[in-house]
Amino acid sequence: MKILFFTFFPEVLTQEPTRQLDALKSLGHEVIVYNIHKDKSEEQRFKTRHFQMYASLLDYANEISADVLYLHDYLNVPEYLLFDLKSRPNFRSKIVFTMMLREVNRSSARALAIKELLDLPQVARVAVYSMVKDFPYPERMRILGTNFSKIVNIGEPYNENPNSMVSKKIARINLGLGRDFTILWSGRWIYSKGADIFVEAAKHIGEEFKLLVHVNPEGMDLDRKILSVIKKNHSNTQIIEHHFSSGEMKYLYCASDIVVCSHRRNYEYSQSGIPGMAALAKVPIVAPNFCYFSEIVNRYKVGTLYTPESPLELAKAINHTIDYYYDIVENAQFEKSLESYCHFEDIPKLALEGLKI
Amino acid sequence: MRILYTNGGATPIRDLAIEKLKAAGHEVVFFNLVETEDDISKHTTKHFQMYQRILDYADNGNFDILYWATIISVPEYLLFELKARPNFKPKIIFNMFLRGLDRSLARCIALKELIDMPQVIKAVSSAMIVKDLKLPENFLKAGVNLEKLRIVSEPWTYEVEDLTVLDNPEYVEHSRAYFGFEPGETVVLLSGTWAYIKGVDIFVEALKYLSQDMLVVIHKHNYGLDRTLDVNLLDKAVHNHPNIRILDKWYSAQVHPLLFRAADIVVCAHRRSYTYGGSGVPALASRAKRLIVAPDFYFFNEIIKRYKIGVTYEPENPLSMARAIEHLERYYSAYEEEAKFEEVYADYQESSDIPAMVMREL
Repeated sequence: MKILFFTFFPEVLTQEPTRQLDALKSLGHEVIVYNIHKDKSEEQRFKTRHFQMYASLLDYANEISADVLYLHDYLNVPEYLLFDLKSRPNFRSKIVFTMMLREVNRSSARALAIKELLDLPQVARVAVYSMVKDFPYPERMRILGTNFSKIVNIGEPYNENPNSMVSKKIARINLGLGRDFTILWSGRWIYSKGADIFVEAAKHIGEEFKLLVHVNPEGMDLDRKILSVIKKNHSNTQIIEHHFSSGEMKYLYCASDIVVCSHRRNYEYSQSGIPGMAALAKVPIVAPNFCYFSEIVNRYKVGTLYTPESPLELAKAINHTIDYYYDIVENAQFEKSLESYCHFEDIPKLALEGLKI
Repeated sequence: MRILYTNGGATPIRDLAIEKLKAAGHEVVFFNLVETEDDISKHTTKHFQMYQRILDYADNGNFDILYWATIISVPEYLLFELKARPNFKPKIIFNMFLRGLDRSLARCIALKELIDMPQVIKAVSSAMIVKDLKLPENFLKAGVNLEKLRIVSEPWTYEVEDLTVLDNPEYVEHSRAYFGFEPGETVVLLSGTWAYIKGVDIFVEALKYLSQDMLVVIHKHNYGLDRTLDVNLLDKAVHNHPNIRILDKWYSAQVHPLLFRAADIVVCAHRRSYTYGGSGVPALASRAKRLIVAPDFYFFNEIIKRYKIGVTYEPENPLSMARAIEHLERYYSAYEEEAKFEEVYADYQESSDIPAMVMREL
């Protein structure tokens, strides 16, 4: 098949997609990359979410007679794609795109737009990243009569090689950590990930336990002052502000005893690489009680759930996990919980599998 | 009628528009679209949930009309919010752009579906030309219900009284001195928001080709900055044309028109994506009796053709823009004599009048 591969992240063009492109090519497909950054106006449209953002892409797919238009990135304005397709009744290429269900979960309007998009004959396949197999769909998708046969669950992608995990001792030496029982918070310091909720919860965690706070410096949307607040709330805190490459993340997880997810409710039905990394390191998680975190914890007993967005409930759940630590670890099905995970290079194969053009 | 009136931010024009609606006997509740940090974030990032909160509020507040006075930037989102609420009661009037519709059948189909919704009773768009307006072909092709469309004259962003400074010979005579322009020097002015769509980078490129005898004045508004533009663009402008003055400040409604008067040539550098877009520049320049150089696309080309208020150039072509400026300078008197300045702005109206006018017509 002739596949037009589309991505709008310039950095991605030189990283993961190279592997994905190779994977597509290895399946015997002819792959052409559409790079919006070559054209300033085109780049501008995507940056500003201009209503014509998909127009040139669809024109080009038509021009080269692509069999498949493969949208590698999450489709962030499905409404625009829908109307661009409505305006092109003779558009020939079949469309495969990836999306997150969290937006559908929060808006009937968005769910309706996705339903209409899936009903179009040009849309062949929607690939959804999720942390669990046979995941439950947001209820409103069922009510609206969404065509689920076009949706394929490709699992949660991770970069880490399961065989590359290191021992706790080596990981701690690598990070300069001592022997304290260590509770990890890792990621971008942003509102939706509830970093501020964790900071508040820190007040209620015993000082004998170390908080290992990894701050990914990219895309911080909370006031930096909050970094000093956490030290005030819990003096036994170590902050590491660093961009770890995907191969280095394992040290953080392997060095820890508990991993905390403090995500806000708007993360419901979203994806996260944290449960997968924690499972690889065989470390339990403390996570908010909503899908998919709740699904993965309930199915595989890999941690403790708490009432979302409550710092006190989060602290209680962390303390509960500490109190019953060995029982929780013993019962946890870490390896089984990884059954929904996949490697980045497998994504195109999974997304296109069985697709008849 | 009980009206929920909304737009982003607080402006004197909005307050005046609400006063005029109240004077017409309506009960008006103002809903600020950008009240909280979260609203601002959703509004500026065109987040799909930005319409959710206001429709919830309108539905629960027993309103007859939801008057969306700011331009609906993503009609697709409003359409799906309405589709998701089949029992939504208030009738909707919204403001929209014709801009860009000539190049997007997709957007026209979305607008057609939105305008067809039973809750939508009027879509209001302004245009620099109302009489014998040629609507975008895609708009007609999509089969938009034109009965629900109300084209209004391009609104002044000023109250008409503010512009009377231009009728005061004393102010006019001293306007050049006020801004420090030398007598006899040709002043080329670019004034407005520093944005990509307004082609400021094209203008900067054109400066390379302009005679150094001309004084170039860039008046850059301090609001609505487009952060995708090259941060060094002003330095480039100075490099390309050392005889330049940068006015990086806000002028009051009484002073800004005098800047137009103090200039000789006013430049519109807008990109093609501004086709069918409205602009206050031709009207303000005409009110100040100054000629313009503008790109050769609708509405600019039509307004120049009808009223002979300047020259056009090939859009997005810096060399063509520079040649047009020089041509206009050379034949300035002849163009000035032909220009029908008064006819251009005769059609313009105060924007605060529009909501009450539209309501009166229902």
